[in-house]
Amino acid sequence: MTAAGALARRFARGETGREETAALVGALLLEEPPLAAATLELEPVPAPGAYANALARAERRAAELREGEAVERRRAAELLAGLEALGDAEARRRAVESDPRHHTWALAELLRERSAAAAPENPARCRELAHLAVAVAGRVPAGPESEALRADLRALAWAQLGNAERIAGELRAAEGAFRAARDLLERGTGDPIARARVLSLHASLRGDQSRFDEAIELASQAARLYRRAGDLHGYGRTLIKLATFHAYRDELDTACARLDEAVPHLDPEREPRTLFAVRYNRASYLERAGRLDEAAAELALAEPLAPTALDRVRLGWLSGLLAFRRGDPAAGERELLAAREAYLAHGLAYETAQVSLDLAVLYAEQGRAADQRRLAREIVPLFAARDVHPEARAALALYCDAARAEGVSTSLAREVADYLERAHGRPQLAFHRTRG
Amino acid sequence: MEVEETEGLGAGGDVDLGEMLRRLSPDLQAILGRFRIPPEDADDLVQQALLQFVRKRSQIQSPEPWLRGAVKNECRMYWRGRSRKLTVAVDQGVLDVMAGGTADDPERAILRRGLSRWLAALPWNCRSLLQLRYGMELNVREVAKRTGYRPASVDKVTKRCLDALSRKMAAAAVSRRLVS
Repeated sequence: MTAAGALARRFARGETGREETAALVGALLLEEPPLAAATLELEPVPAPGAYANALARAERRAAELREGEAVERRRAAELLAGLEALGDAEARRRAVESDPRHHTWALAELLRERSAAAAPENPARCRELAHLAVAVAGRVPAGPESEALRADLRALAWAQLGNAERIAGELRAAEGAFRAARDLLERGTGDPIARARVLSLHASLRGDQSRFDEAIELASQAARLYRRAGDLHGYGRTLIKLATFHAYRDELDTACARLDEAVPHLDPEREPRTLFAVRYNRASYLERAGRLDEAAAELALAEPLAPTALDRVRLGWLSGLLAFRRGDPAAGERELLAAREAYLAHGLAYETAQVSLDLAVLYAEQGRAADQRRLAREIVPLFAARDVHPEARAALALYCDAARAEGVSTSLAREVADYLERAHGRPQLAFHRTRG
Repeated sequence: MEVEETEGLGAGGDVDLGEMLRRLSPDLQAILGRFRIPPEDADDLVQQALLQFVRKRSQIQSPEPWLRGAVKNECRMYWRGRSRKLTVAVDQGVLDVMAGGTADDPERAILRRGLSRWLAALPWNCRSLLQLRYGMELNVREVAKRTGYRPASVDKVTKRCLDALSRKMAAAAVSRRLVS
């Protein structure tokens, strides 16, 4: 290549110094501009086999990288055990912020994974671990990873924190965390899996905010990204989420259709719970749509898939509702009472209140005022529980007052029951009477 | 019921990375070629995709399509980075060239006419913005004030216009082997 050609090529790569650039630009300004050109086309077509050496070197490096990462992961598990031994959250926060031994990629990832795992059962732990993951991810010193890859690490940590804040009902904090995650994602590698995960978690926030159009849009984008990246299980589980948003909007046929689409893509070995969720949710949507025989058939398919004791309680609850609606109120009452006892025994006050209100609907339809008063007395102690948020308490208080005054109508009981279902985990959702 | 997102369930954790790279080598070489990555820069790019795989392996369900996608993304980022560097250089270069000499300097008048020709080849909204930037040496805030747009919007559009101008100049430089 001539000196002029080499200079031009360096210029095209943005590698010329200030004076060289000014000289070239000055010369170019005296020339006629070409019609169009893409930067990519400025490079010559590489010779066949031009990249063989790069690939061979990458292959040699692979084992070394993998081994280094495995060592870092083992070390991260030890560091996490050390943090957990510290006893209180404040000490863990201080240790993570001040001790550079904790500032590793693997520990940030491990904290995020553990935070996600804690989400269904322990929101407080989920939140604490997510805060630690963000703190560590932001402190990982520069290494061989590109800035974009480091931005992915931080984006995922922030998205997990956003999700943890959402689960804790701190929606404003969740919003801020997702803003940070989305900004970082823009500076990231463009990895579709990372993007899909952030969008899917963000969709859950929009769902909790009852902004279902946006929730559906975000979840649809996430589903497309998972499918494009070949992560079909991720695609299927995102369709389950999409179905819940449609169900919240009472689009029950669409919700069932999304679940049907999800089934062939789910990998029950990877996550057995997803298949149970599909069957259970489908039964629940069909029950709400009044397609009771189909709902009963779906429920029968869900039964052998229930992964935990609590899931079996949930099945009993839905089975009780179905029995009641299919004309067997005695069986319905029996199953609802059993579900309520089980939830009470597990200390799940919100679910106990929900089943109680389903019983209230049953009693109201049968005009059993004495049972309503007894039910109301049993509900009052639930007000003290932390998971029964103030808006839910207000709705329950309205029911209790009416029961004491012997004025519970079926519509009031159903309205409170419907509200409790929509407001589960959504403390910001206000209770407004829509009927009578 | 909602199913909370879980982590660390991908199949990428079990894969033999060296073996996978051997299998994918023809595909990856084809991708690098399609993006016309200079061979001397391919090393870094493949190593980054590899590092990414190692760091994210527990999240990856389909390792081979994922790695192909990661190499493609690295290629896109490579071009984006190069384009950004070129844009910054051209912007500074034009400012330097236009700042030289006095207002009635005939050489400067020729350069200004030259700049107008280049700007005429750009979309209409770029012309007025870049005229203000180079002709009157206004910064983004001043351009925003004069045009009534938000500074963030002016900044965004200016960058897009500068990208277009830079690509044209680079193409001209390479195709005509222009050197002073």
